[in-house]
Amino acid sequence: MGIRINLDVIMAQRKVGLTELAGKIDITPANLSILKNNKAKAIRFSTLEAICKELRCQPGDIIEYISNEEE
Amino acid sequence: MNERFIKLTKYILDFMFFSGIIVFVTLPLSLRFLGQYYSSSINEHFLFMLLIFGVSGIFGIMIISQLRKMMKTVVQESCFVYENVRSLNAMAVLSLGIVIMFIVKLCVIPTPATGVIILVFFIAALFSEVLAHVFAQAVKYKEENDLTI
Repeated sequence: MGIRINLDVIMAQRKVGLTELAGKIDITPANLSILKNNKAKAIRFSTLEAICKELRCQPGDIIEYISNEEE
Repeated sequence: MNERFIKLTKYILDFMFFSGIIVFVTLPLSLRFLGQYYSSSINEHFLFMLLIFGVSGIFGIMIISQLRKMMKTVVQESCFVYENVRSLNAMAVLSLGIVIMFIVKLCVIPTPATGVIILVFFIAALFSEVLAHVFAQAVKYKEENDLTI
């Protein structure tokens, strides 16, 4: 897939754990884990907004497009 | 009401599955009985009729078995799975199997009832195949929804 989720990098930079972040943005740790591990097929704007608000970042910091040649 | 209906359907399927096995096992005896008291043509073509009804019976039991599997997933509240798509496809193939068996019977012993059975099971095969396609789409949408965070 051409979209990569860099949530783990931002979480490490902000020193926030999976369970802690999941609790703050009100989604289950299992769902956040799916997102973090690049297994998700889509992300809601509301989830993206909550993550950006909590981690004080832009959507582009979390989501990255990689062209197939680069992959 | 819905829960009770699910349970009732499950009990009916269980009853049909086990009674189907009993009917299949006792088929030679019941065919002999029918040959004596219902139609002499059954006695004349005893082995042929036993083969047609026996194989069709196995296909029928297998269809009920697939339906029981599907009902189990309904009871477990996880019915939108690919196993159910495979079950519906299997039911379509098994129904076509019954259609073929009765077409063979129609060639040897033509009766109006045989024609009706062929038509009913052909429609059942089409019905299962269409449902399998619909179900496959539903499973795909559900998976997408589950993986939308």
